[in-house]
Amino acid sequence: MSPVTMGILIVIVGLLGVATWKAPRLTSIILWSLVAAILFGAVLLLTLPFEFRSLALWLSLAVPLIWLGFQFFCYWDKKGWRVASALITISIVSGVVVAMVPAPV
Amino acid sequence: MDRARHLRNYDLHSWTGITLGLIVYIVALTGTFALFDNEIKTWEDPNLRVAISDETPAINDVFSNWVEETSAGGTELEFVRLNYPTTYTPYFWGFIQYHDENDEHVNANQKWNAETGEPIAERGNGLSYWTLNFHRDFLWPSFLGGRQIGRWLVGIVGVVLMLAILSGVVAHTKIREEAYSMRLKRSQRLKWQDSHKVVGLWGLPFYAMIAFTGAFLGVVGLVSQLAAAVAFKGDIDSLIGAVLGPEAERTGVQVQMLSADEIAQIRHPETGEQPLSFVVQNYGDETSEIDIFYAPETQLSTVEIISVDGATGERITDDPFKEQPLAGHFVNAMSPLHYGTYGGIWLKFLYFALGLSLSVITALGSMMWIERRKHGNEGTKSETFYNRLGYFNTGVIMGLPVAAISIFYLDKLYVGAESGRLAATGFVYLGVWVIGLVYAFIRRNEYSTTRELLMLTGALAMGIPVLNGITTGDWFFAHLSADHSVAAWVDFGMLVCGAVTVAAGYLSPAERKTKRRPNAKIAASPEAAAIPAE
Repeated sequence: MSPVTMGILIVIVGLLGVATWKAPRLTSIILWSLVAAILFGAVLLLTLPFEFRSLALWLSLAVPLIWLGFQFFCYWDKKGWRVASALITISIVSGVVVAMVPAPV
Repeated sequence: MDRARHLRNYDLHSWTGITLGLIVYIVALTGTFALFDNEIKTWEDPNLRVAISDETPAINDVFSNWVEETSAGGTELEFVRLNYPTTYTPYFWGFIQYHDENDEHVNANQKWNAETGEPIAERGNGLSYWTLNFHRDFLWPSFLGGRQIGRWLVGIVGVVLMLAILSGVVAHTKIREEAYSMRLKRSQRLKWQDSHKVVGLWGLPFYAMIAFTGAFLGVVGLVSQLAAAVAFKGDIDSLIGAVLGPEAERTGVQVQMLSADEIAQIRHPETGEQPLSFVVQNYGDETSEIDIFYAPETQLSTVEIISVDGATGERITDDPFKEQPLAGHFVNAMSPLHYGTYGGIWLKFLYFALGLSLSVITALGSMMWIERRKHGNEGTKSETFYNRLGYFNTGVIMGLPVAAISIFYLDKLYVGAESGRLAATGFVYLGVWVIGLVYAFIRRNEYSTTRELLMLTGALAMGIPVLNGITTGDWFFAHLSADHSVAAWVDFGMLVCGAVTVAAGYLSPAERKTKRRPNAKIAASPEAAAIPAE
């Protein structure tokens, strides 16, 4: 990765950090809920023990609902920081699982 | 639920409505027109107002010659498709996709008369194309990323609508009481508020269904595919292979393909239906396969597909990827559910009424939001700011139906080249919409603007049968019981809807009526507590 790209990425991550710190619920409903839904959907696709094609189709129906659930959670929990940290944790854990589990052949 | 959570949820409902409410309104209202895509197609093109015979006439020679001539300069024919004549598309319609000498994808299509097989002159896309696709993807311009972006945006609107519905249901703790509460003699704001709740609660199952299916049709292309792509670490080809099965490679051995006329005779083994269309992969090669599309046994499915060998016509039954899993039936049901194509014209009318009510709910929601801030104590900005917001809101809401009706006039009065028809349609649609917006700012009275633009919309809709009669000679009253009466019923529907709209406009107030404060009992209710007295 070039230093310029690295610099841009660091700035973006920094801005996201500030946004999450200042407005955890708003940042979570706009961004973190979507990221968590996509990564969590990928984890379900990789780990659930069902026939792959059926599972992919069921998940195509479920992922928008998972996203909706995460969005709703953003304004449900009492603590804003807990919302953001929960969604970021789900995203990180899901990312690790995706990296470790090989794609179905 | 504790008060802080209730307020957070109420804010969520309110802010999803105000930030994206107008876009939800646009998608919902354009959706009510998009429901009648097939009917509008027949209305716009008098050549389609013909009844088709039960027996499909021969087309193979014409079709195969066109395929060979059109793809002659290309390197690889990717697929070939032919649609047989149906009630709404009473002509043969061929499509091919091939690689040209520069290895670019090229698409071509051609229509032929169902009786004579003569090529039909291409009529440019216009009214029906705009009506359907503006709902699907706003016809998002290519310089802003293209129509896929627009489709995602519409899908996100579906997710936002689901969120608004969920938070709205949670916000209303007394659903049973509110479902029957219509205080029409009280203030304007209470009238709007009660209408918003009553219509919202009674139509809830429909709105939830339309939001979910809309979100699925729009956003599944983004979110679910992204999730799958992440699972496959970006290897999209493997992903497609795992879901759709591996693609058969061409061997280069040429075979005589089953003819289009022979395929037309292959009836569905269970239902006995005639084919609607077919798609050929690896055309002319020994590995060719033909997917034949039939009207589904259940209407809650788009099509039913039977795959046969391209040369012998033998049914392919040993390919697990041709079997439809249970989830596939659910996925297939999304489009019929969303567009109401599973129950005949009366179901579409029901969808139309419910879709219209969804537009009204979203419009009322944004109107209440502004009203509370303009005439209540929730506003933190100046009165001028809320006035301007009100004019903008009214102009967008009331300008859209005028724009939607105005393109019916353009369709019949357009005299330019067919290639420019779509651009002219877009220009008139957006231009009339902007004029509606400007009118709201000039009028400086949301009530009068609403009333006048509503009556204008109705009057224009009532003029559509006259326009059709004058320009095509097909007066609707003479065709309502004809063999092909679709266009006549569009005229009739416009006449009735136009009359109702004019009446609704006539009965609307021309200015805001100031009422005295609500009584103590109302003021003490938890929701009224959030509403300042007038």
